[in-house]
Amino acid sequence: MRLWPHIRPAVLVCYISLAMWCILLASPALWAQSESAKPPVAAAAPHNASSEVPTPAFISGIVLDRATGSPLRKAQVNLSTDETVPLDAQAITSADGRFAFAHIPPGKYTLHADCEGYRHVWYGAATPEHLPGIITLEPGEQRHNFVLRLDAVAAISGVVVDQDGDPVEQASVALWEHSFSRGKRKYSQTSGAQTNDRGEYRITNVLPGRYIVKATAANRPAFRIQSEVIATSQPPGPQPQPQYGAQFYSGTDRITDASVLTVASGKEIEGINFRLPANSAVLLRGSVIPPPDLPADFQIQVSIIPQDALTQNQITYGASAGPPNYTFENGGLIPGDYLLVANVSAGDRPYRGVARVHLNAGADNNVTIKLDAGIDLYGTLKVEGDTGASATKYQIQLSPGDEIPLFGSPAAALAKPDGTFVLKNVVAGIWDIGVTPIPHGGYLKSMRLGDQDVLTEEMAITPETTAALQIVLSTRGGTLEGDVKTDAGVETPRAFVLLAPDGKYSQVLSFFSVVFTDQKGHFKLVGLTPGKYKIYVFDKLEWGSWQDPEFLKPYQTLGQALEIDEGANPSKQLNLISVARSQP
Amino acid sequence: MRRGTLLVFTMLCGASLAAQIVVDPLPNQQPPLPTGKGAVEGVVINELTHEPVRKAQVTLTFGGVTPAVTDASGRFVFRNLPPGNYQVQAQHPEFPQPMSSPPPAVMVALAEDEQKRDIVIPLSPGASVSGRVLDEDGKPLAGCFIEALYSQAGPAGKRLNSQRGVSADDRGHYRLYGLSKGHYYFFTQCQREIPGPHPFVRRGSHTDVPELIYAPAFYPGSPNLSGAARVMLNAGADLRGFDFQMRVISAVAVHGSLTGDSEALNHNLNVQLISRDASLSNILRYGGELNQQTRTFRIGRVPPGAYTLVATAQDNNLAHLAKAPVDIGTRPPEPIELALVKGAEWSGSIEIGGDPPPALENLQVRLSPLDPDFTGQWPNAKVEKDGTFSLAGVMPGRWRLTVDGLPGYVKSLSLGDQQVSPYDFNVAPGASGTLRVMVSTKTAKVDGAVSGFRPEAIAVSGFRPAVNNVWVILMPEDPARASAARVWNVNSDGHFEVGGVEPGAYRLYAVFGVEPWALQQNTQILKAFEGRGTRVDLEEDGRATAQVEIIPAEDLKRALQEDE
Repeated sequence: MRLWPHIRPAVLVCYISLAMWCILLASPALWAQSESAKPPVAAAAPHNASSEVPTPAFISGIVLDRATGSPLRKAQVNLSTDETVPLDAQAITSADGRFAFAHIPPGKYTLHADCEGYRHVWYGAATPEHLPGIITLEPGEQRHNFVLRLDAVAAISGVVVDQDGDPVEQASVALWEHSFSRGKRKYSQTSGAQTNDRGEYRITNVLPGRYIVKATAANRPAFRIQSEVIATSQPPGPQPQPQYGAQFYSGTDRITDASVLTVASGKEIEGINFRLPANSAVLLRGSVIPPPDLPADFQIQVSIIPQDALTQNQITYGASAGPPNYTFENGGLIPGDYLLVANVSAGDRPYRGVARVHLNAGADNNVTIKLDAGIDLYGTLKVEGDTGASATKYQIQLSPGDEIPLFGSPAAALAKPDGTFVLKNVVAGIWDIGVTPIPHGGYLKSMRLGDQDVLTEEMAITPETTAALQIVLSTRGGTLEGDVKTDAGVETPRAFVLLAPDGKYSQVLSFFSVVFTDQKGHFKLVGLTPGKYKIYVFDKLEWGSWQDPEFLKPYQTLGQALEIDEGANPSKQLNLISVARSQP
Repeated sequence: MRRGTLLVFTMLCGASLAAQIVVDPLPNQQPPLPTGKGAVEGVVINELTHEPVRKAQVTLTFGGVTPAVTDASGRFVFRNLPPGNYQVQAQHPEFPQPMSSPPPAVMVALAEDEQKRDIVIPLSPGASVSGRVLDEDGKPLAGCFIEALYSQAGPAGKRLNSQRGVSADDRGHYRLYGLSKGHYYFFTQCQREIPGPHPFVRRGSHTDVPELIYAPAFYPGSPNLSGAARVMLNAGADLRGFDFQMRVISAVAVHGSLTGDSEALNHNLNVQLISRDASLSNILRYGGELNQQTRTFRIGRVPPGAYTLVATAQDNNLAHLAKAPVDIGTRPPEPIELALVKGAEWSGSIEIGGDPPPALENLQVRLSPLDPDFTGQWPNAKVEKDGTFSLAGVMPGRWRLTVDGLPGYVKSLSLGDQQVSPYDFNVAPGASGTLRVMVSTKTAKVDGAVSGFRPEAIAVSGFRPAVNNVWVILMPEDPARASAARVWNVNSDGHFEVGGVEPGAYRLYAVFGVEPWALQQNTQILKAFEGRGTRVDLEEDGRATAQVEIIPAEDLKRALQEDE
């Protein structure tokens, strides 16, 4: 407006307030809501004794880009309530980022916003992992100070070429984010993009985090220059197609050497380039030693699983081995590490065989897999303490503790009244033991396989396992209660409380507990295994991060040591005054 | 999958399969191929820039060689070749296939010990088109899908098909590449909601308020073909700035319910709105949510236009159909109830003359749909020994009837008691009855010779018969009978013989260097070359001899391009 430089401050203030009223009155949300004479919730106003409709409330605010502070246009702002029925109202921000809601029946609401190119945000939540703030609107209340700050998503781009520098079209570039599983680093694929004819790709909508980047070009023939061809008197046999090897940024085919990209909000990361090597496809040959009682016409299925990391959503290759020699082969693989799993069911028994192999280019890759039957695992279950109304049926279930895929359902058994059980057909591998139900306030006291403590160590079953599994449950678990306050003595809702085992069991993941503090900063944990612990409070905690043994080291001095005893520990009040900031 | 890549794979398979064809009856033993001291050497170049093409796959029609892959100077050489006629062909993933010609090839006649050095194979670079998609405020719009459409003639008229499509990125940028030379339309659809403000509504419910969408648009900004730009893309063209400015319009939801045989309604129910403009019937289709339990449907975000609502229920032999014309304006239409009608059962019989009459068993009767909005399976039936057959699931509409494996031709067809043309007949809704197919074995023969013919245009490859690109097309003079056209290869000596031809009036053409089926589909193009064809009239059991001159490839290619 050309008039700006010529207006005196007083007039300016009038102008601004007039402008704001115009914006508010012109807000589509306002008119839209005035069209509906009776919003559904108003008809069922619960907290008004008289039959009058309570005076509606009014709110307004602004949506901003957190990094630049600039207003966001066309953001969708939703005011939601779940008090009686789930209802949403929606406003769209104008070019100045502003929104307003009128005719709001009094009650409790949450406010959230979405915008193209930005992460979803809840009002009152510091991060998307936090709980949203509750907005309580009294009759006739007017609040104008809502500010929603959105984090821009990031983008990653680059070029994929082959060993000669030529662009590779339709290569897939994927982001893998790391997480922890069973104390081991694990990667899972999140998003990705394909390259065009210039080898260019662009991955958008990337959330802040740490990623490794992998480029593959499966099913793209990797032509190698061969300009001179000599004719032969025998027709050449089928030519195995050279294939592109996979590659991690930057320049390695081993995931352990991959560079980790730290992506901050709104960043444009360019130049994540790849040079894919062309490899001749590798031939894998092998044979399976079938179980003795396998019927004559059975085929044994072999799964060939790439193992360049502990990855999810990886393509699995297959082959089948049949009579009489039970040999198999697969000629379409690229060099690398693989896990081979052979499965078959004969009689009532499942058989499984596992082999790990590293396939080399140009070499003769041969492997033999022996199939073993599952064993029957015998055990007993004891319960210490008063179970009250007994005759509880306890179920013991095994779930795979390694990454080896299981054919069929995992072994499970019900304990008999005398506590004995048999888990049938347990194939060789690492197994996690689950027991349900755990009595309320109780805990899993011990699990032993013969001499081995399988509560704190992994249980490995082999075909030679003869030991019995002894499980003891106790009803007398420890409890822990406390309040979290800041240095200034203010209650801290929605803090993350992490109870970590201390001493020799500090790596046993099942002894960790995490809980949120409630609105008053209070928390309670029940069913704790007695022992030595350290307790930490964070205002932000990435789920599973405590599985990394290095994670807690920097915070050792900020944790508080305590000891949990068996039996109820009523109101052991802890005033924790340290609030640690975790790393992004 | 790119046609270029597919062709490369096919050729590599073909090359390796060709090498394994066994002539000797003993398995696993192949007679040795001859070798010699001849060589064929050359370069593959970019037709436009004349620069060498690196990593082009070059094949030679000889069983004893693998494909060559050119180096940085575009060079390839095949050595130790015996004398003979060869065809050399080049492919590269960045150079797309021409739309209606075979891939570029060079014929080489190699003498004993000859070193042929100067073969040049030009490849036509693909064209690319790029630009941005912008919203109503001129700001980048993400997530729209842009397609390059080309016109293709088919038995039921001209249709637009998509050659390539790509999504615009978060900055609204898009780039279509690898387009072969030809005429295109560019079309954008944004399958995204435009959120609008609204008062409190129950979560997850739909409102009947008109929804806002970005209007699907043909470049430079027309909702339909009449305002659309028909863009000629030359080889290697790189057109930029093809921006789409999207407009917000009101769209409505079409909803309704399906009734009919409850058994049928449990099988693969599908409801679609298909544009009534036949040329757009492959491009503008809208589907929606279908509730299998309540048999209600809702197709949301439909822009104004003229459509046909088509519902089908299909399962193996069961076919049900319902169709209704729907005109969408800016106001939501009333709920539509569609009654699914079972496809009719048509029983039929084939009568065939001849002495003795040939076996009818194992012939297949097929119906092909001529309606542009047809969705579903095409009915077909096996003929029994006594000549009867039974077609299930024949939906109302326009059809063409053909019989596979017939030692003759369909002379006449009657539907109930009405004579109809087997090339195009109408089945009314609810009609059913008996089809009587009269077949005659009194077919005709045409033979003759092609002139303007170069013997070096023929190549020999190993054990395979001649591969050549010279064809004769026998096109019926009556345009309604266009599907009776015959296409036949010409022998290495320039002669041809076509048997089993349906009697009638035809015009004979000879073509080289152009895919004959592109011409067969598009009868108007051949019509323009009428003067260069020879009229042939064929009687029952008749025989005719004709001479015809080859139409130069350039003339045909030009005519095809202008028409696309």
